[in-house]
Amino acid sequence: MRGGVLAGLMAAAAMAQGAMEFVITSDVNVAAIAFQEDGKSIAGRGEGRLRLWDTTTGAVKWKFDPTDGNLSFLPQPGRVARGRSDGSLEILAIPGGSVIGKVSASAAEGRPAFSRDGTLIARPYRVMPRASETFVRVRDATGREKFAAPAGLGGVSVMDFSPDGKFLVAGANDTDLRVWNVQSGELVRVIDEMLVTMFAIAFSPDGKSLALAGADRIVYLYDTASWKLSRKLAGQPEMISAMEFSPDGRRLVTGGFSELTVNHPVKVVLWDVASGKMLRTFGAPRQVSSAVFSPDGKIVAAAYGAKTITLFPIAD
Amino acid sequence: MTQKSLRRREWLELCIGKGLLVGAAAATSNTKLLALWQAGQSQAHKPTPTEVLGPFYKKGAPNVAALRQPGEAGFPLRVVGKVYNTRGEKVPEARVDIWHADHAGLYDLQGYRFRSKLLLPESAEYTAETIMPGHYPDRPAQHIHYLIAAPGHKTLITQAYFATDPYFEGDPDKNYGKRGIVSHRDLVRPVKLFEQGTPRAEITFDLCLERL
Repeated sequence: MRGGVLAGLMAAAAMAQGAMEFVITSDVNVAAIAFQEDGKSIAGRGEGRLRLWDTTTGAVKWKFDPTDGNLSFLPQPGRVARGRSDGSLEILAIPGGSVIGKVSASAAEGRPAFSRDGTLIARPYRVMPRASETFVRVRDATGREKFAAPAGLGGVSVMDFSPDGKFLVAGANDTDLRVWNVQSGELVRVIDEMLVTMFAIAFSPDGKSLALAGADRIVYLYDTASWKLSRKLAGQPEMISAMEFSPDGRRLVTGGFSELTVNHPVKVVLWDVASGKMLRTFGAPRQVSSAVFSPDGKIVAAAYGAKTITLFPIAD
Repeated sequence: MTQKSLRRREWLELCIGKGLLVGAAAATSNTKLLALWQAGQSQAHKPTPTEVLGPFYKKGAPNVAALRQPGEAGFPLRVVGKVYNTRGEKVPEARVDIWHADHAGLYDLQGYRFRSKLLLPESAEYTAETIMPGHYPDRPAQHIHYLIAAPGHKTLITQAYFATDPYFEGDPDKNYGKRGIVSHRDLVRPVKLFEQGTPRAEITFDLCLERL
């Protein structure tokens, strides 16, 4: 452990000089990551477990090993949702695991998406197991249903709320995406011009732009005032499976997913949104399952569904 | 089959209307009796089991029966079948999207190689000339994806597998369920081999849709 901390310190020192990336090792396969404590730590979840690491040293600060239930990060730092066998969600504190809230739900609902303030929860579901049709249901923080609606065929591949919580967007494996007004449940727009499935979704922090990316390697930027396509960013050398805007909205990070296999090396790409140019590319060992910015925008972190996560320092 | 089914329904409605099934109708309403009969009829043919759509569907495929180009790598495969519903009625208005990986296990996401959206003739039968799909590590059983949409019917998403696939270790009855990849034994199709002329394999995969 002491050696690990030393290595972490050395890596952090090297990172501070802009020299290299910093790899944090994990005892569980990490599917998704989220910065915590204003960037001082980063949490990773996978295999139903959660780990919290110090971003400077790589040392483990907290381990959470629940006996059952899927975990999902909330957009607010310091929150993780645990899905229980009865379909309900417990909202727990990071670190510590104390119960902050509970959202009732029926069983057999999928992984939730939360609004930025955590007061809205959307989950996909099917009426029958293996049914072709997929639905989404939106609830408030007490579990009261706001609306439920058909969401396409073959399962939901991406889903997110707009930053102001007014809209929900969900895309299905049949390639169509739907935009709902959350208050009324009205279907505002069906984005049916995609030819392939979208695997990644991200709203710009100001909510004016929606980025979608997936199997055709292209980032599609939609204007959320009209829900029309405004621009495309091309250049990622493989499919795109993870994406996020920087906190100031000027940068975008995308993570790759090789058509060959999840185990094939790919790229993490840093984009300049205004010019559409690729600023940097970083090597990743396998499919990027999660790519996020630190709160100060100076680090990009990536997870691969494996026992490492990588922190890439980025020059502004 | 269709005419016979319709005649039976007409006959039943006539019987109910004329009070010939009074005993049954007294226990339940005519409407309920008809609904019961229709429910039974709807299960006359089992719907094709469903499967996952997967992440590699691509919209807009051309209507082509020849998915295999001359000189294409991979063992030639003919896929034949018909589209009908649980009443046994053919469904020629169905649109059959099929797609699969190439011989090396790769899907074409830039173009439409090994992808077709078949329009059906009045017989509701289809034929596709293609190749045996390759294996790929993330889904190790060879398969062909199907998405079938038809007015008045539930959209069917399914897959065809091959009994000769080494994945089944020579015993699909025993091994079809291993690793939870194949949902139902019926989806693993026997493979016929033809040696005359250009050698090729052939499977039959009939598709039975549920009515709405």
